[in-house]
Amino acid sequence: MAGTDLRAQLNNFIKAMHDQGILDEHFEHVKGLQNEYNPYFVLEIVSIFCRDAENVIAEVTKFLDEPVVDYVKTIGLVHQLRGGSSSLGGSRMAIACRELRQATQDNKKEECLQALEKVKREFSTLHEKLNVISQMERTILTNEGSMVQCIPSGSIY
Amino acid sequence: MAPAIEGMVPAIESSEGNNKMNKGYQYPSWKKKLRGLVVDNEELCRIVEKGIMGLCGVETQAVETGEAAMELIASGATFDIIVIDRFLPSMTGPETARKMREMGVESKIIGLFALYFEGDEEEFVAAGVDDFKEKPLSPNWLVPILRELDN
Repeated sequence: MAGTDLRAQLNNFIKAMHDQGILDEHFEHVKGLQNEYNPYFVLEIVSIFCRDAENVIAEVTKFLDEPVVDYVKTIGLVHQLRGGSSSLGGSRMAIACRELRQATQDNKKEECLQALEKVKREFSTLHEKLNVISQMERTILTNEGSMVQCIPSGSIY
Repeated sequence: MAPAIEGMVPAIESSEGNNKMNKGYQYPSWKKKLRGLVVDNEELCRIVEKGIMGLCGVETQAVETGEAAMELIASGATFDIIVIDRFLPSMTGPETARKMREMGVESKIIGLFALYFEGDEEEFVAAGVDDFKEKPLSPNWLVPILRELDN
């Protein structure tokens, strides 16, 4: 049956993400929060994550671009970024955030910029994979008879 | 903007000995009705932490700030377990924990870090938390603590 096939395809895709270290076991717990009362949970969480991470990365970029870097604010943003990525299960991105945090410790701008580039690469990869997961989830939900309209960011029902 | 998913169903109370299964993970249920509070300013973290606590059998509320947490407690709400993020706007996580203890709150209080480096816990520990954890808040870590509370 088409629905079962697509669900199996999604599970295989997520498994591949695990194997590559892009997602870790925590993503399974996040998926476990989706149920008949919250059928769009994964879609919504992915949407929130991508929106927030993009904004935070942009802010960190701005701070590190300044001639005099405000490391206190930068560190706060990096914490936010790592918190979100680890809470989603985005393992490699969480690791890249830790490396960026480590780089801020010594107030060395060049190291921070390199670490930020790595964060951006990992976010780009994670974002791409999450988009695939989201698309598959939407199709599954549509096939299962749920009305999936365009879900505006920040709203759930 | 309306908070997303805040209205999700609280922890399902199952009959004795039954655990909830989800794709191979066995989430517990408890003899007591456990109540929890999540204090986290970050929307995604707050939603996931509340959800994980719910999956682990804890009927959980979630607030964004230390002030909101203190209001709840001042209104008479009681919790078995309180999870507080380190970085909160205005009243910090450790400040929130300290005020709770000063008010006589005896709940299990867990300090939560988005990023932990050794030594970061000192402020939280001085404020009276029982334990601390780097995110994510995982069932594997949470369940033994809840088992103690249930006993």
